[in-house]
Amino acid sequence: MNTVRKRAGIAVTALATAMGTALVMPASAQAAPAGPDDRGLVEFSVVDTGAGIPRDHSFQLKDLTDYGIPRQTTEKLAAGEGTAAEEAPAAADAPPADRFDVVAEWKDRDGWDATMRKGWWNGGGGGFGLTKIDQKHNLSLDAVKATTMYPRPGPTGKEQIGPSTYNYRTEVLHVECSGWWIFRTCRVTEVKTVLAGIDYRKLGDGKAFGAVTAFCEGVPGRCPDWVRNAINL
Amino acid sequence: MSTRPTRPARRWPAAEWWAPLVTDLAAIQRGSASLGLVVRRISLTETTPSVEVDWPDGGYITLRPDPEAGVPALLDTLGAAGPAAPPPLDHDDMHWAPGPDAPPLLRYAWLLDQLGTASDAWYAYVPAPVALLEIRTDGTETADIAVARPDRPDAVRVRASLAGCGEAAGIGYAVVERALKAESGTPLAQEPIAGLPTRLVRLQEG
Repeated sequence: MNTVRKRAGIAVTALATAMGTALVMPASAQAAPAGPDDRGLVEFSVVDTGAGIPRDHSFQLKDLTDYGIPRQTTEKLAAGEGTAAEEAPAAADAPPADRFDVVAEWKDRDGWDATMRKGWWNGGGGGFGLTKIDQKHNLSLDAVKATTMYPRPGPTGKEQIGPSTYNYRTEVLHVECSGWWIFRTCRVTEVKTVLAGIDYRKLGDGKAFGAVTAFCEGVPGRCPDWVRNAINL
Repeated sequence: MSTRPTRPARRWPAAEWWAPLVTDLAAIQRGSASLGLVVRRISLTETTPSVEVDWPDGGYITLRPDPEAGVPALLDTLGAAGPAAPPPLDHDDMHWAPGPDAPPLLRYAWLLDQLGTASDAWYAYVPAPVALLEIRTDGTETADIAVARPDRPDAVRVRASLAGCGEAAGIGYAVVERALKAESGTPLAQEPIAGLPTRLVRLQEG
């Protein structure tokens, strides 16, 4: 079991490294003010990369390191440090000329060449790519990368739904902790599944069309902020 | 919310049963647009689909195909009624959105392609699955996509302008979302679908 956890931990660290992003605390990762009645409440979310975070019983905040979350991240959570979420720009009236510009390329779980294009969003149901994923569905490039690089185990993690189109799914866990510092007791209070659709047909630049859209399953609008702000994105 | 198709396709078990048929008809519509072939209507209200195809010389045929028959088998059947051609060899490998200035039948082919390749819109995108009842087109201006919603005694015909379909990606999501937003007070269309009174809304108003 430890071996499995260590491997998963390496995967999470690699995920953060591959994305080239610093781990930052979301606004939701805030401790309650100190005081005699303080329960030390902390909330955060984490992408389930298969590291084994228990969903049916509690664990301690310090155990996050066993599930691949860096110790510094856990200590920041313990201290209640956070940063503000980004504000999304407004929708476009018409498709911009640079909508097919590639903004990111990466390998999916199986080493396939995935792509994210700038895309656009009309404020309703029209659009594709990062602009729509970000503005309509409140998901980030890193969320799409994580979903395609570390889809849920089993056949439903990556599924073909068209001649060259694949859907990927992974879970994001919302966690609530109470207690003191890294010894807080934590439990998973909510789970959302992120679905990302990738069209692997190539455009004239020789690269895949890439991400058509990504959303929280069953949610045609915005995913909750806590999904976007997962600590390992 | 459902995480699985209501009736999975054999070819792609994560797709709805009609996805292979609509995808194959998209390929045929693309390959045969210059021949005047129009996949006029795809009815999915019964277990076996019904497909109406016609040509400018008045020729027409109605098929009741296995939804997974495949492009070659469909072409064989259609070829007995009028000219039909397969898509380019790289059809499944190259992204072929025809663009806003393409002929209407090519833009319609792209609409069919996008509906067929994102059938998750009908079960995973929304809180409760919705059903695709019918796709039809006038061949020049519009395509109507009929949707049945859960626990509703009516259907919605979402009318998309072909002018806006030359480049649309994932249009199925927009269609489903528009159908769910249709109010009960929306005027009824003239023809019911599957016995359901049917409301008509425009996709672009969503």
